[in-house]
Amino acid sequence: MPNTETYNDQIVRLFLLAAAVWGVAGMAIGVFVAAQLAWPALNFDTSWLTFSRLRPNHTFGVIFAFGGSALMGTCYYVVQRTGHTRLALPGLATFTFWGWQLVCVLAMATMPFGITQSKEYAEPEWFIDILIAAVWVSFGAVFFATLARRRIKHIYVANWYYGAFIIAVALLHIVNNIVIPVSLTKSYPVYSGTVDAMVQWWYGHNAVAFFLTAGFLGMMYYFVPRQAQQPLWSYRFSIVNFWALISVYMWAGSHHLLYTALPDWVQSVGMAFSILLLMPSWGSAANGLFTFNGAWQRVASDPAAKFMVLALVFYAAATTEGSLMAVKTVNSLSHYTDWTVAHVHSGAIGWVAMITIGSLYAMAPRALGRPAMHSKRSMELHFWMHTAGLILYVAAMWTAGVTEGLMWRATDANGALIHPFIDSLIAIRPFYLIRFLGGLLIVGGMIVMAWNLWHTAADARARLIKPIPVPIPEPEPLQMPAPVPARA
Amino acid sequence: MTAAWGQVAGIVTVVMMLLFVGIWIWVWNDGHKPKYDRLARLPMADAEDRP
Amino acid sequence: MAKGYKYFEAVEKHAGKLGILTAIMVSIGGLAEITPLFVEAHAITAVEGVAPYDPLRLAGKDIYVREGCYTCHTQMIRALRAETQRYGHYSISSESVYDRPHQWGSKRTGPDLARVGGKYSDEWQRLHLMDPRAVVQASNMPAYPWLADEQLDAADISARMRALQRLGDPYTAADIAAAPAALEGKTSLDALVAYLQGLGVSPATEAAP
Repeated sequence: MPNTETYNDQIVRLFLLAAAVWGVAGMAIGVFVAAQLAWPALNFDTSWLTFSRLRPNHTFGVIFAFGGSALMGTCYYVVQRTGHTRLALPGLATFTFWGWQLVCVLAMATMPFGITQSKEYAEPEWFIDILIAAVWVSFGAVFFATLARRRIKHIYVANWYYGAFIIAVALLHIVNNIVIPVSLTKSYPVYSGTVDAMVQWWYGHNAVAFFLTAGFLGMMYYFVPRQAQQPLWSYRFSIVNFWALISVYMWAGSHHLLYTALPDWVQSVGMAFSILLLMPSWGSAANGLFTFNGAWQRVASDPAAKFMVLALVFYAAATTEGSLMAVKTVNSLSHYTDWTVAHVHSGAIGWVAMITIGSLYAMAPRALGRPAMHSKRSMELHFWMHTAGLILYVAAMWTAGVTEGLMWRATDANGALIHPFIDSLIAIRPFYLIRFLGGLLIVGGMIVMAWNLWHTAADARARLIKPIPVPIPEPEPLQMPAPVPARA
Repeated sequence: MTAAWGQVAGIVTVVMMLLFVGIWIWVWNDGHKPKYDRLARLPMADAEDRP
Repeated sequence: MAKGYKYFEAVEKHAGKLGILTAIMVSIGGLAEITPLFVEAHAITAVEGVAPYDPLRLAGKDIYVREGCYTCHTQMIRALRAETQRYGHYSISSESVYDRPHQWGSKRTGPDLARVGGKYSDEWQRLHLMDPRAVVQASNMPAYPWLADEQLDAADISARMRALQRLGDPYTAADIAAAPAALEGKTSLDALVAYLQGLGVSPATEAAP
């Protein structure tokens, strides 16, 4: 039977381009707002350039524009490869690309002008939220319709994570953004005060859980074995971790509200489940890292694999730190300080960005019809710039956070507070400078990656590449090469 | 939190724990090993990799 | 075992079942924590002493929300000695019951504002918003000079109050009718200062345990 079905990599290439552009843009805005904290003159007394108006552009730009584009692109790539099938509903898939880009542009163009809900990580106003919901449901439809036509009977575990990411984010987004519009540019949430805070952090925490963790774990479960050229260390362990992760994470949101006006029992439940979260978090990190066992020489010579390994190390570290910070006594010191910022960025720059970059480097040559990335040396350069920037950033913000926490609670022999608030700000100024430098290195690395991708895409731009045929019929399991002996 | 809600929360917790242990036992059942070994190799069996 | 095998395998092999089971598992945690809060929310609104924002303060609160002040300021004094010493009585639920969205915040690049009302004069607040470093030399807060040039939109405030009324905030028809007049000749700066000066001055905490 002639094989006429090919993979739809065109949509993957579009998302790849979008991820590169948004990555540079979102992180550059981050560096700018970081500079504003060190040098307030950079606000230029201009409303739309002011820190408080721009900061959501950084978080939205990096999480939803960069992360979202990378997730959707890799998801479409992985679901086709692990199902041996072409993407279903191609028209709708194209809509998810342009729809998502429209969402990102609209959000980034409205928030600096004060058109915002000011709900952290859910700032875009109601009309953008409706578009997000529409794109998201379409994304889900394309994904599940593709799964439905797969030729491999079992659904590979990466797709479980992508599926959970799509379902949970839809749920979170819709519940958190129920508002009454007053006009096109202003709305009021139906929730107020304590309930709004709980809904908001149930959303905020689980955006971390399902957008920034489950989605990227899906990426990890496909691209890590690929890049290691070894089977997944333990497939069955990945199943246990999946169910544990998705059922435990949702409970932990209230750890963002310890010692607040939220009822005590909710705080305690959040704290307990946050500690339980260590299990699936370490489980996934271990599964990824052990997959590299026996292939460490390959890692040394492959920058994409290096990004993945460090991503997994930071995933383990950041989730450990997160559970620690959910313990009330630690939280009393860390909360409201730059320690939180350090934690978020060790997760975002360490885990999320590095697994994404590693996966993009692994996927791009295949999607762009080239044997390898244009320049391996610039991949090395990117790795070291990113790592150095990450360490500078996290070390600076962690030190700043602990300094603030200790100064805010310091009392003299009579029990009176020693430091006026402004003292803590003066004390951490040098760290704001170091953080800015770290950020510069990271953005520099992203520009190197964008340059590298541009050159790798030369053939694709000239429309010289041929679509890749889907393997039909599905190879019978018995004809597969004998499985490698189980490693101890 | 009302007492009734506490009861529900307790039962749900126990059920979820049992489910968790069940999944664990289930998945470690040796009968699944060939299938899981095959699946673990799936990312490497890409169309492009075949000559 | 072969029989049981079928059941879990159904999940692994069917996208629909996998999706539904995933949706159930992710819903449990949220439902368990948020549902009781909804039930209790009615009890919270009943606390006396906290009135809904008057028109000028409501306009001010919406400017606080619009400018994104929550990115650097919290409005949630935690029940910790170091915090109550610095900022006053810890925050209680009934104080934020009219805040849509809540402004508890998550980061203190600047100090907590839950009880900033009356701490400084109106004039200080004005100067500080126009040029923070004129009054606090080491501050890294941005200046908000455009607030002084913006006239408040008197027509808009009625629509906003009506929306809040629909959500259950106890505004009367007379309150809403009188609202535009209260904003006559006021700027965004006036509104924001009025809002800040009202923060934490309600008697809610006097009745608190």
